[in-house]
Amino acid sequence: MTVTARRAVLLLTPIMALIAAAFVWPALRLGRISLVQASASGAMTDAVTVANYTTFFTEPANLELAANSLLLSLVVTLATLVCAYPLAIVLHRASSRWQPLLFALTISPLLVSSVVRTYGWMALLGDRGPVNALLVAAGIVPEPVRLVNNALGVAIGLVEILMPYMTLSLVAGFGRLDVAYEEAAASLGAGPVQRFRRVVLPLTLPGVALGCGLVFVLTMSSFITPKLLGGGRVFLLATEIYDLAIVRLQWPTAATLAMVVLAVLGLTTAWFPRLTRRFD
Amino acid sequence: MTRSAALTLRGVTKHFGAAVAVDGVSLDVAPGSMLGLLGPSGCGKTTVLRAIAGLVPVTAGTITVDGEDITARPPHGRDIGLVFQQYALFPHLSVAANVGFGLEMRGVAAAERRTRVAEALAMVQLSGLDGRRPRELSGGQQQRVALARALVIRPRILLLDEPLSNLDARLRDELRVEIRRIQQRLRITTVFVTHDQAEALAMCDVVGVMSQGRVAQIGPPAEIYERPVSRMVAEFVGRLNTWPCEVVAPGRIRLDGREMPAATDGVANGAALATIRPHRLLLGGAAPAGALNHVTGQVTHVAYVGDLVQYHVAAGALQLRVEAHAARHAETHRVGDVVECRWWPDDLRVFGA
Amino acid sequence: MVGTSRYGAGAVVVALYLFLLAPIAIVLPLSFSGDSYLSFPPASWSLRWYVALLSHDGLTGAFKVSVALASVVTALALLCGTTAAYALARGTFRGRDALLALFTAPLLLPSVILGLALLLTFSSWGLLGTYPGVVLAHLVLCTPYVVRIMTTALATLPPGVEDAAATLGAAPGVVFRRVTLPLLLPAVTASAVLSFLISFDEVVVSLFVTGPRLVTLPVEIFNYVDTRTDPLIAAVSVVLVAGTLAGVVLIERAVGLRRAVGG
Repeated sequence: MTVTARRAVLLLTPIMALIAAAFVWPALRLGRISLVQASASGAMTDAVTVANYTTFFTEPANLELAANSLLLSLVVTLATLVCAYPLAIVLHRASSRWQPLLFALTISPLLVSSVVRTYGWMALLGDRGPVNALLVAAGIVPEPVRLVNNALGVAIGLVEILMPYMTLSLVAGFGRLDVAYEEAAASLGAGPVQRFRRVVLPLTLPGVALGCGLVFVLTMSSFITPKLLGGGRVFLLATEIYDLAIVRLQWPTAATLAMVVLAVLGLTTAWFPRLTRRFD
Repeated sequence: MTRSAALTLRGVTKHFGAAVAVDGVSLDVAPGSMLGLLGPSGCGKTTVLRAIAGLVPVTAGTITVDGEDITARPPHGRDIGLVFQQYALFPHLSVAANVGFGLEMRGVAAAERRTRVAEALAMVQLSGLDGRRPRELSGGQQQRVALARALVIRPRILLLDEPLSNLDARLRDELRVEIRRIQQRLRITTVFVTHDQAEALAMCDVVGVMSQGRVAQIGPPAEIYERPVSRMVAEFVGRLNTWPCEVVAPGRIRLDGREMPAATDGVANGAALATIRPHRLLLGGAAPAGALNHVTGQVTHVAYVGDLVQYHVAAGALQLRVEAHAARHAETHRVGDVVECRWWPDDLRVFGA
Repeated sequence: MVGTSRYGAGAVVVALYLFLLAPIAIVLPLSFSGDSYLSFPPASWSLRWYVALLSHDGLTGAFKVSVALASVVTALALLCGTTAAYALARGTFRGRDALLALFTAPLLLPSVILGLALLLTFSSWGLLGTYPGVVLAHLVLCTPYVVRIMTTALATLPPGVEDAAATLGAAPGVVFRRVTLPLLLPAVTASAVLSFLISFDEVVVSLFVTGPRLVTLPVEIFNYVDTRTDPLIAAVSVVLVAGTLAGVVLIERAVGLRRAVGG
C-alpha cells in the first residue's frame, strides 16, 4: 500500500502545523530574543544586539554559574556511570528468565515523576531521614550531617534519577559484548582484571560514550532536582534560566543563557561520538 | 615447537541444576594425538571441552595434563588453547593484536611477540593480514586467525569446538586437511568436538562417541565404524539398515523367516535388531557366491547421486537400502528389476532390541 | 569462574537496585505518618495526610486539570502521530528520513529550553496559562513518541497483508480499517498510555506555560514542595504511583514495556 503525494500532504498537515507552531517558531524566537536589547524594566526593543552575550561572558557571576553547571554535570555523569555500569552488565548477561524482571526494575523509576522521586530523596536525606539515622546509629557521624539543600544532595538525587537512562544507554551499546570474548581471553591466559581492561571495557566503550553523553545533557538541563534538593542554595545555568524567565522576567538574558547551554550541549554531543569511533 | 602432553579425564561429571550434562566421563588422550568427540547436539561433548578449558567448573572428577591435576585451576592458568565455534575474535583488535593477545598476557616482549605472531600467521597462510580487523575477514580467514591465536601460545593442549561448522562445504574440506596437517606437524595433543561423523572419522586418531553425557564408545575410527558397540553408535557414524530379527543361537539369527549366520557378539537368544551398512549389501551376480547370505527382491526406488547409486529393494517383509558405486561400466538397475542381494555374514551386526 | 567474588558482585547489584528504588519506596510508609514534618521512621502513624489530600482544593483541582489535559493531549497526539507515521511509512516521496528526524527533534531539546522558547512565543500569542497553550506544549512532547512507536509498528507489520486485502477487493479505506488498524492496535494502546503518562507527569515545560488560573498536578506538587515539606506529598505520590502502575500493566499487556520505551 502506498500513499499518494496529495494524500501524504493531507496526512502530514496536523503534525507540520504542530511542529511549526510549538517547536520551530519558538526555537527561532528564542534565538531572536537572545539578540534583543534588555532594558531594566523588562521592556524589549526591535534592535538587534549581541550585548547579552558579551555581558554573559564578562560577568564573573555568570561564568561561575557555567562552571558550577559543568562541574556538577561531570561529577554526576561519572558517578552515574560507576553506579549504572554493574547494573548494565548484569542486565546484559541475565538469563531470559531474570531479564524481564531486572529490566522492569531498572526502568520503573522512569515512570514515576521526577518531582516525586526528588521528594523521596528529600525525605531520605533530611536531617530526620533514615540515611542520617543510619549514619548516626553506625557511629560514622556523631550527629546528623547536612545532605540536603546543598550540592551533595543535588548530586545524589540526580545520580539516582538519571541512572535508568545511563543503564539503558549502556545496555544498548553493549551489543558486541559476548561472554565468548571473555572466555577466549581467559583461555589465552588473561586474568579477571586483564579481561576487564583489555576486552570488556573496550567493547563497552560505545555504550559508555552514549550513556555519558545523554546523562551529561540531562544534568546540564535539569532544574527540578537542583531547585528542590538544593533548597535555593545551589545555583546552576538551568535554575538561573527558570529564575530569570519566571521570577525576574528578564527574558532576553534567559534566552541568552539558554543559547549558551545549547551551544555547550551541541559541542558535547558532537564530541562524544568521536570518542566512540576511535575504538571502533 | 610444542611439548606433547598427555590429557586424562577421570569421572568428569557436570550438573546444571537438576540436569546432568556430563556423567562420569573418563578419557585418555595420548601425547601428540587427536581425539574426536562426536555426538548429537546436547550429548555433553561441548561441556566436556569447556570443562577441560576450565570455562565450566566440574561437579565431580579430575582433569590432568601430564599427571598434573588442573581441575581447580582457572581458565587463564591452564595453558590450553581453545578455538571457539564462533571464533570469538576480539572485534576491537587487529588480527595481529588478536593473535598476540595470549603472548602479551604471558609477558612476552614486544619484539619476540612480533616474530611469533608473524610465524603463526604464516603457518595458517595469512601473512600480510596483520592490520585487518576481524570483521574485514572471510569466515575461513577468521577461522585461521582463531587457530593461530590458540596455537601461538604453544599450549599443552589444543581444543577445537566445532571449528568448521560455520563454513561452506568446500572450505570445510580444505581446512580439515590443513588443521590435521598443522596438528601433526606440531604434534600437539588435540581434542576436537564435532557433530559431523565424516569429519571425526577423517581427522582423528581416536574417536569417542558421546550420548546423553556418557562416552558410548571410544576407539580408532575404523573400529567405531566397523564394530560399533551399540545401535546408537552404529547409526550415528553412518547410514544403516535396521531389521527386527531373532537370535536363535550364538552366531545365528532368524531374519524374515530364514535362519542365517550373523555377528551376534554375545546378544542373548530372543528378539534383537540386525543391522548392516547400505554399501555392504551387494547387488546382482558381481559378488562372490558361497559364504554369502542372500535375499531376492525387487527394486522400488533408484537415486543416482553421482559417485553412488542408492536403491530401495523390497525383499519379503524386508526393506533394503543399498548403495553401489557408480563405476563406469557397472550395471545400473531400474525400478521393477528383480535383483539378488548378498552380504558377508559378519557385516550383519546384531544388537539387543 | 564461580567463587566468593560472585556473592560480592551480587551484593553490589542488590545495593544499587535498593539505591535506585529507595526514593519511591520511602513514600509509602511516609504517607501514613502522623507527624507534621518529614521524618523517618515516623513518630506516629495515621491516615491524616490522605484526609488532608482530599480536602486540599489546590491539589484536587490540579488533579482534575491534569486528567482532562492528558486525555485531550493523548487524543490529539494519536491523531497527529498516527497520520504522520502512516504517511512516512507508506509514502514514497523523498525526504522521509529528514521529516522523521524533524518530528522527533523536540525530544532532543532540553525541556528547560523548550519551556523557555514556548514561554517567549506563547506570551505574544496570549496562550500562556490557557488550555490551548498547555495542550500545544504537551502535544509537542508526546507526539514524537507516538510517531516513533507507530512507524516501527507499521514497518514490522506482516508484509503483504494489506496488498492481500486489496487484491481481495478492499478499497484503501477499508484496508486501513479492517486490516491495518486492528494489527496496529497494540501499538496504538502503547502510544496512548505513554502519551497520557508523559502529559500527566510533565512538569518542566508546564512550569513555563501554566499560570495561576491553570495549574497541573506536577506543577502544584512542585510549588508545594518548594515552599513546605510535610508528608502530604507522600500521600499524593502513593496515589500517583498506584495509578502509574495500573498504566504500566496496561502497556505490558498490550505490547511489552521494552518495545514501548525503546521505540
